[in-house]
Parts: sequence; C-alpha cells; structure tokens
Amino acid sequence: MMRRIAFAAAVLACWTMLLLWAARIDWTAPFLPAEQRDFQGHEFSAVFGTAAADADRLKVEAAGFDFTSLQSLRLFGLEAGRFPTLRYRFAGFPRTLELSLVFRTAEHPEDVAISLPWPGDATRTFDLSRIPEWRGHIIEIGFAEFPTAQIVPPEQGFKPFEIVEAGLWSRSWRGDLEALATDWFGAWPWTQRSVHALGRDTDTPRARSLVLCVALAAGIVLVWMLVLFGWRSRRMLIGAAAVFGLAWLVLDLAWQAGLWGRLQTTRAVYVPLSWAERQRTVADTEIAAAAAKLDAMLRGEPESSHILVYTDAYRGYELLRFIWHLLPRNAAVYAYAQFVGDALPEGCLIVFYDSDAWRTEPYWRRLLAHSEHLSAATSILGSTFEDDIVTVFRFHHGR
Amino acid sequence: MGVEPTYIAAWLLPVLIGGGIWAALRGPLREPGDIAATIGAGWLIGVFAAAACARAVASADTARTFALTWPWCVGIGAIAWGVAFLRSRGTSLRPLLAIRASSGAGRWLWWLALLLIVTRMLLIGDEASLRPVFPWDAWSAWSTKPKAWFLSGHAEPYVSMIEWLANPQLAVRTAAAWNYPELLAWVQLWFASAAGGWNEPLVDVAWCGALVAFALAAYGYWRALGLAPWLVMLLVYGLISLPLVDAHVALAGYADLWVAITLGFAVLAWTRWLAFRDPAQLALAVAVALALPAIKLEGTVWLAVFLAAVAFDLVPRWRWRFALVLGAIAVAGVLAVTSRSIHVGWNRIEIPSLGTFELAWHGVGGAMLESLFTLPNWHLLWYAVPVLLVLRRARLRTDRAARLLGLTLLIDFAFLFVLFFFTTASAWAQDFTSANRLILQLVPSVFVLAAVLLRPISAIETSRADRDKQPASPAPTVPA
Repeated sequence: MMRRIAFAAAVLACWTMLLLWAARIDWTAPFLPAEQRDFQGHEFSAVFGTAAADADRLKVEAAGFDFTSLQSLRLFGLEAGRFPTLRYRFAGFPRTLELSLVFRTAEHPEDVAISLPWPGDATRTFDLSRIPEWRGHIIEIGFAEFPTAQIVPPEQGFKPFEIVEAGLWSRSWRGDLEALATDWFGAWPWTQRSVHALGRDTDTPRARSLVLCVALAAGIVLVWMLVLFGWRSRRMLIGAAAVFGLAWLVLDLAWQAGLWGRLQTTRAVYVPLSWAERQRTVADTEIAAAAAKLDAMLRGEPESSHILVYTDAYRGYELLRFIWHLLPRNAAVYAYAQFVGDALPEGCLIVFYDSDAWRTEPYWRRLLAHSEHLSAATSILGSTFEDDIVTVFRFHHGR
Repeated sequence: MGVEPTYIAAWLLPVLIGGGIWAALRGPLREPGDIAATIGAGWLIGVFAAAACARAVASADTARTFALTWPWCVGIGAIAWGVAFLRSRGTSLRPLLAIRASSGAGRWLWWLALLLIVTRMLLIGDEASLRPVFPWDAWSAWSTKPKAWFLSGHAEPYVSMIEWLANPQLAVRTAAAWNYPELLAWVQLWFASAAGGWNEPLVDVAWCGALVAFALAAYGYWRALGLAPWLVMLLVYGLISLPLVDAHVALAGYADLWVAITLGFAVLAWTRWLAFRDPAQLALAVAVALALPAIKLEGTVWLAVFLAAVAFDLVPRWRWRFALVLGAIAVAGVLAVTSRSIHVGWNRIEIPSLGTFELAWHGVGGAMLESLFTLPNWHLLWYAVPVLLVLRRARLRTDRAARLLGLTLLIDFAFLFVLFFFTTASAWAQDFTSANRLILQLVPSVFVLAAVLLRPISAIETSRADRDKQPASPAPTVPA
C-alpha cells in the first residue's frame, strides 16, 4: 500500500515539474500576476469595419471594404517586457474568421500582426514573450479579424461578434499555465502547410510540444513503476502497454478536438450548399471571376489554343490558381516559356493577369511590338481599359 | 441532397471487380477476417482495375468514362466471382459468420477502437466531402490532368514546355507536373464521370474510401496472421488516428496517401505469402506493387526495393552467386540504358524529371527529430517503434516474415536518410514540407511490421507447420 502511495506521489510530483517546464514557468514569478492592465471591449474603437459600444463590450457589426475588420486601443508607451501575457475574450466569434493580435511600438511604429488561436467564447491566454517584436514600448494594440485564408470565401466570412475584454498581465504562473492550455487545446485552421507538417502550419511561435510532454509523462510512469515495483515481466508489460495506450488516447482526443474545430469552419460555409454549389464555392472568388471573364472573352477561340499567362513574379499562388480556374483552356505559366525569348509560337495568346507589365516594362513592349491587343468588349471603351484584371495579346513576330 | 445512382455504382463496382479477384485468388474464405479483406483489398484492387480499364477505353471521351468502362468492370467482376465460386464450392460460410469468443476486456477494447475509428472516419470524410480541392499540389499537380481531360472531353497528352511551344497546332497540354504518373487522374475521372460532372468534393471522398479500404484489408490480413481481434482493431485505430494520415484524407488531393496504402497493401499480401506460402498472395503483392510507379514517381524506388526483397526471399541460398551475377548484369544493363539521361558524378546525381542532387552532408537531424518526435503528426508512433523492435528483437532473428519485412523497411528508411541527409532534398526536411509526406508513404508498412512482430508464437508455429505440410494451402484457422 505504501509503495502505491509513493508511486502516485512520485508520478504526480514529476508530472507537475513537467507541466511547469512545458509552460516555461519563471520560478521567480508569483502565481498571480503582480501587475495587470484590463481593457473592456468598449475601450477599443473600430479602425476598419464598423463597431459600436454595447454596455462594456464592443459590438463589431460589419467588416471593412476588404472583408477585414480591425479594432484598436492606444496605450501610451506600455513597457512590453513587463506584460508578456495577453488575455482576450470574445463572444459569438464566428468559425469562419481568423483572429490576429496587432500592435505597434514607439521604437517600431509599423504594425506587427500575430495569428492567435480561435477565441471561441472563453477567455484565452497567449504568451507574447516568444514574439521577437514584443519589445520596447507599446503605443497601440488591437485585434484584426479576416476570413480564414484560402478556406473561407471572403464575402462569407464575417458575422457580427463582440469583444468582451482583453488584458495584459505581468509574468505569472497562472498566466503561463493558461497560455500553455490555449496553445495545446486551441483551435487552429487548416493551412496549405497542414499536409506537410502539422504544428508547423502557422508562423505563430508555439509552446513546448504536447507530444513530447505526453511521451515524457508516460516515460515517467514507467520509470517509477520499475523503481518501486521492480521488473515483473508480465505485469510490467501490461502496465506499460496501458500507459502507452492512454497516452496515445490523450493525444488523439486533443487532435480530434482540433479536427472538430476545423470541420466546424468548413461546415459553416459548405453544409447548406448543394454538391454543385460546393464545387463553385471557392475562397479565391476574385481569381475565379477573372478566369471566368477571360474564358468569356475567348469564347470564339478554339479550346486548344495555346495560352501563356503572366503575372508579377511574387504572385505565384494567384497565377497558378488563375490557370486552375481557367481549365479546360490550354494555359501555361509564361515564366516556364521565358527561356525561348521571342521565339514564341506565332498566334499564341499571352494573357497578363492583374499586371500592367505589358505597358510599363520595356521587355514586354519590345516583345509585343507586333502583337495584337485583344480586350473585352465591355471594357475597351471604359475608363478602366488599362486597369483590366486580364489583358490579352495575340502574339505575332515582327514582319 | 442526393447523388447520381451511377456515383453509388462507381463506389460499389470496385468491390465487385477487386473483391472477385481477391476471392478468386484466395479460394474458400475461411477466416472471419476474410470478409473484411475481400471488401477492403477488393476495393483497392478494383479501383485501380477500373482506372486502368478507363484509360484503355475512355481516352477519347473522358466525360463518359464511367459509362464506357462499367460494362468491362462488370465483365471482369463476373468472371472473377465465377472463378471464386468454383474454387469455394462445398465450403460452408458458417465459420466466416461465427462470432468468436473473446475476453471481456478484449471485447471492450475492440468496440472502443471501432468507435474511435468510425468517429474519425466520419469527421475526416465529412471534411473531404464538403469543399473543393484545397492543398496546393492537389490542384496544381494531381487534379490538373483529370479536370482538364474531363471538361475538354479528351485525354490530351501532357508534354514538356519545349514540346508544347514547338507544336502550337497539336492538341497537347503542358503543366509543371506534365510528367507525373496518371493512374490517380483516371481514378478521379472514374468518380467525376459517375457523379455526372467535375465535382471535387465527390471526387475527393475517394481518399477517404482508400483509407477505409486499407483499414478493412489490414484488419482481415492481420486477423489471418493470428492476432487477437482487439489487438488488430487497436492497430487499425493506431494507423487511422495518425494526424498526418487524417490530414491527407480531410484535405484530399495529394498522391502520398495512395502510395502509402498501395505499398502497405503490397506488403500485407507479401506478408501472407511469407507466413503461409500462398502463391496467389505473392502474385497479388507484386501486381499491386507494380502500380506504385503509376501513382507517383518515387513509387519506383519503393517498387525496386520491394521487388529486390521479394527476389531475396525467393532465390534459394545456393543460387545466390548466380542471382548476384544476374543482378549485376541487370544493374549494368539499366545503367547502360539510362546513362544518357542519368548523370552520376562523385558528388552529384542528375536524374531527369526528378532533379539534380548534390551529394554532401546536410545537418537536418534537428528538423527530422522535430518532425518525428515533437510535432503533432505521428502521435507516439516513432517512440513506440524502436521500443517494439527492442522488445521483439528475437523475432527478427527467428521469424522470417519479420526479418524480411524489417530488412525491406530498413532499406526504405536508409534511402530516405541518404535523400535527406546527403542531398539537396534536405531542404524538404528543413522547411518541413516533403519529409513527412515521404515518411507517410512508409507508415502503413511499418504497421504491418508491427503486426508481424506482435504475432503470438503459437500463430507462427501454426503457420510454419502448415507451410511445411502443404506449401500452397490457404491460411490455417487460428484461435481468436
């Protein structure tokens, strides 16, 4: 009996140490924060979008023109190093929005944005001490919300919500432990990197690994079993298997909760839709619309006509999505054909997607000197002629 | 919100074809696991067979892929089931349907694992069936061809940019992934044409189907190996629960999951050959493995290693010198044929379509350790595998199946080690992109090895006795 009590005490003590290590507890810090700055929701004001104070809260009623909303608060030089723990609480925050913390310092007045876990309705805590930019004197702090990138069609992302309160705490055990809980069990959205490496699919610095901590916790149990009960092969093996199974289950339940959260985002957009509507509902609506516009422009053109698409170099994702939406048109990326110089096939189509390089860059003006400029009938007479999202040339060599 | 009846048929027909082929090869179904294996293995075999048929008959009219292909599928399925029926005449199905006694705890574990598996599949299947294709390479590489082919109505060849530019009048297409294998494209066409339109949510659910099929096949094969039902269900749950596996179903569209389950299924069938010397399973293993290069380019590497392991098992020891000479001639022949395209220097290898690999040490150990042991991709898998290997090290000496399977995986992982630590592919590990996906391709095979190592001694002895007595006989009945 005594050995069992000793076993339980030893395991609990070790697990506590492990938890404190995982939370990066500062041993010199108090359990509760010595200093804290609390901000009621109504103290924030809308920068993008519209919002109104509702009792102590700020009710955010509409997003800005680009589907983003931002609410901020001036702080007059709060020392960042003294307040490394962020607390935030929202109400009715939609699944379809992502949340970022935005701040500026007196030393670096440009905005810094950090993605935060989805807030839900509970109070969340975030450790800012691992953000390199959280230094100096904070002169403004705010929250930005935008439709989940590449997942939610921008126009469907926003629904009204409320900022209940926010706060900045000095270092404390409670703050560190709650920040760890938010990190481990918070809801993060799918990203393009999720199929490569989960846990690396956000740029936000993360807490110590839950997987490592659970593995260490299981290892601690096994070591104490060995020390206190000795090596009794069969019982030890069964015990080890049970500990391993429980550890796996803990990790899997945490993962399942994350999966559930991600699924709710997807369901919020797609569940009401028919199969055909689901296929048409994409997050990059502007790119799809541009592709549809080009397709309409080329309706007299054989589907097999070769099309080379160009856009500015830093926009590879948009370019590839544009070509994807353009299918079954026979389009390819111009950059891959650039090596042939002006030896392009006579009569092929060159499309500029959201780029005015055809008129601003000498290279293109020389290359297209003898080419035919095709444009949409609806826009050629309009004032936006040179700002069209797509500009089309039929390539001709010099005569 | 319904779907076309043809879409339902597109899901069932693979079971008809592949299930028939599997049952015909298996002979009389005797084990409870055989039903699961017939459905799971059958679906995988069937969907590849349907895609191959589609490639043969529907290239000129891709929008009608299903309509043109299904009669062939029904024909093949009918023949296969006919053979299966003839082979199993007079065999009672009673043992198949019997519910075996199991201990109370075992039964609870079995149901708990099943509940967790079903919950997980519903979650990730729901996610896959809701949205259009999402991950980058899914739409920029793996779905480009089937979408273009379906919407244009013709399977026009994809060529390099140079050829495309040189032939403006020809109906050819180009893309960055122009040289990627096309089996998955035809799988997608099969489902899209059955759905009556290019509908990515309906196409992408096939990824979920593939995982379920592998889970069923694994359950059946591992039961036949003599593992207790609860242990088998826990192993299946272990595989299904892995976050990166789930991510590849929920965000369907990458080919890695298909490579993983195809290699895993080939290894499953090979294991059955190793344990029971059932030649039909060996033929099935090789046939399925041959599909690997048709799914993804690196499938060629896994195929080569797998075939080498199969040959290693088949060639008797006294013929080893002869086999080595033959192997050397084969390697020399391959080098002679490819010497114009593959350039090997002392510190670089240049392989067309794969790239140039500079050979030098790259310190990516930290990133790899993080990928395997701390990021939430694999739960505790990579902690458990070394422990299991140590605990069951004796099996690696005494059990030929475990030894050969272990050797095969060792070579596979050695390949990945060289790739990540000695070539410029180390960038894939450093930036946490392809490294995990390449590891994913081997994970189902790792679970097969775990199942072989966890086999009770009695099952190994039973299979040995059975093998010695009657080399080509089907699996023995193993106590639950």
